[in-house]
Amino acid sequence: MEKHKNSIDDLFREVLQDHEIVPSELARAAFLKEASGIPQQRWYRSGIFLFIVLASLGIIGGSAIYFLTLNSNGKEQARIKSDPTIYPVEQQTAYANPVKPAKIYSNNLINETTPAKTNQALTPVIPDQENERSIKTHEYHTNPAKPIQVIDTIANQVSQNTEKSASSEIILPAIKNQSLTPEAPAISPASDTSRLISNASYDTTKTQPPLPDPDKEKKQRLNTDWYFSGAIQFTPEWMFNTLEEVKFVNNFGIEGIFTIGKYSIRTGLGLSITKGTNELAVEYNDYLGSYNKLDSMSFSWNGSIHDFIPTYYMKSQDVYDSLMKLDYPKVVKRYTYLQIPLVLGYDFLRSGRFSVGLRAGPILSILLNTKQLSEEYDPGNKKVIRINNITPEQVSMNWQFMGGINASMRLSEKLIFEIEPMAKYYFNSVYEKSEITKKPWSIGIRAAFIIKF
Amino acid sequence: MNIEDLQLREAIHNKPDAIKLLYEKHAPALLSLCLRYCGNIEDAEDVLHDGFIKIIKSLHTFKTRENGSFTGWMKRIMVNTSLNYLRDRSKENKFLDIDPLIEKIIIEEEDDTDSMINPDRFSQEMIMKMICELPSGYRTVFNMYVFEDYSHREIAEILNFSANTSKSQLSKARALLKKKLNQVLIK
Repeated sequence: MEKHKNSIDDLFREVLQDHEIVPSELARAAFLKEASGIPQQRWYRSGIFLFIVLASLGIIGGSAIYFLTLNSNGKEQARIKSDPTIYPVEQQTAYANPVKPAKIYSNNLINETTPAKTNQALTPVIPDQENERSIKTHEYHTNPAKPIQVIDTIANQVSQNTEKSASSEIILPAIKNQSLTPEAPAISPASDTSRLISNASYDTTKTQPPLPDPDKEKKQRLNTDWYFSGAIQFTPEWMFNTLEEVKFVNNFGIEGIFTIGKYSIRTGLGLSITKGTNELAVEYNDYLGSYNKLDSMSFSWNGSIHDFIPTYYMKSQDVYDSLMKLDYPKVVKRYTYLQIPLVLGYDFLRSGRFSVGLRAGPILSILLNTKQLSEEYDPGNKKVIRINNITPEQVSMNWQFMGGINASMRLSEKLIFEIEPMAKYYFNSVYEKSEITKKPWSIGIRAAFIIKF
Repeated sequence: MNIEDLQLREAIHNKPDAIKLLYEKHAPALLSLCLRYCGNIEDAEDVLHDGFIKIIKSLHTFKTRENGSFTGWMKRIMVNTSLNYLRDRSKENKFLDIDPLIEKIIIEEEDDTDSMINPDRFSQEMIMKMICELPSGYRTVFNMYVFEDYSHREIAEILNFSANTSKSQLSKARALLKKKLNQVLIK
């Protein structure tokens, strides 16, 4: 509605338009002193927040580095295990003849290879990297004339005793098919590196079927492995864009997780407990006191004095101020929500013990219970006219969407520990009057113990 | 980013120098506002102190898009602080604290609609003094209506009385001020 122009209004507005009064030095000093003691309100700009962020990054980064290191070592170990021509020292000493073993250096790995039936020590062989596999095979074929005997011996032993890997099972028949003589001749002392390499290439590459890649196999197995697991989780959460600026929420619950390869789906039941401060506006009249008000009176005839004797019936009457006043008491309530998540996951980094992945999905929250923690507002002897809720009640149901980075560590065969820094966006306000706040969001860290079934 | 934004950002992080600059820049205008509501400089300085502490504490909630200009936002905080202060000080919320004699004068003067008054003839101090001398109820309504541009309905909601009461208070405030202005002119 447009205001009527008024000359008095205009005059005062015009004259005082740029009026300024410099505060006294005392007031200035008092303000600056108090202002310097104001703690930083945005706690999430402070150390706690930084600590949480850095800790999360540290966990994830550490897991990733550990994974990468482990993975590269794992590849080497897997290759050694799967390659039938390279065996650990223990096996070789058990299977080979008791002659002095020769040392062969290959790709930074020092393998004590099986010696042939000779007393002559082999010279170290420095293999060509391109023909690495051939050379390793050749390590047992120092004599090209009868090269396979040692392999056969070892292979038989391995197949009988250990069956170390799938790849050795595949390669051994191929080697056996070469109908070797049982007796292994002595290795020529004059055998040199170039000959060894050329013979090795001849012996193995032409006769062996292509070796299956153990890494690929392992990956395939990991990609198709599926299992169920159960989890108990606790998630402290800090919610923003609420009437209380920052609201702390405790979440805990049980979950079921179905994992297939790198993918997982998680659901369950949880409880989310938070406190809320509700402000009331109480309109009241002050109590001023009381007086005895005449309620009624009766008269009885007294014959002796020939007069009526009055009897007064009084009642106490409270007196209240006519002026209405306002009081703003606060009531603390505890809200308990049931939470049902449906979280999808993808692990982009994985190793035997560690994995790092992404998690995201919707969460449904349903209000289960509201309990008032503080005492009821006691107006004393004031006359309460009206009580209004300034802070609205919390909604009975809302939807959230969470996203987070999950880092998990296998503690034992069945037990896994997970930590998951995450953020949530609330699709609707947590208050019934949604217009008074913006849609909340939150950050939190989920910690969970998972038991594989 | 201009200098004010930079100062504001630094003040948000409680940097003493930025807070000091903010105070020195805005406190004089805000003290004038407080004085208009409180009627005396001591109370006005108290309100300025409380209001500025609120401003510093809630600097991080200030968003240009929603809160408009920074000065306007600070003024709103200061007006609210002043109103709370007045409410607390005079618990009885007396907005009709005018004695019958003045009331009589007002009624007599209300019809006296004399000509336009030249603003140049009045100093800022004179005008401020006139406002300060108003009864607190009149002063509050007059300030809110004239300077803060609230409507009668908004004033009624904030001060918890009817819109008609607000209109009546404003009318009486104007009448009193006009009388004071006339007195100055006669002198």
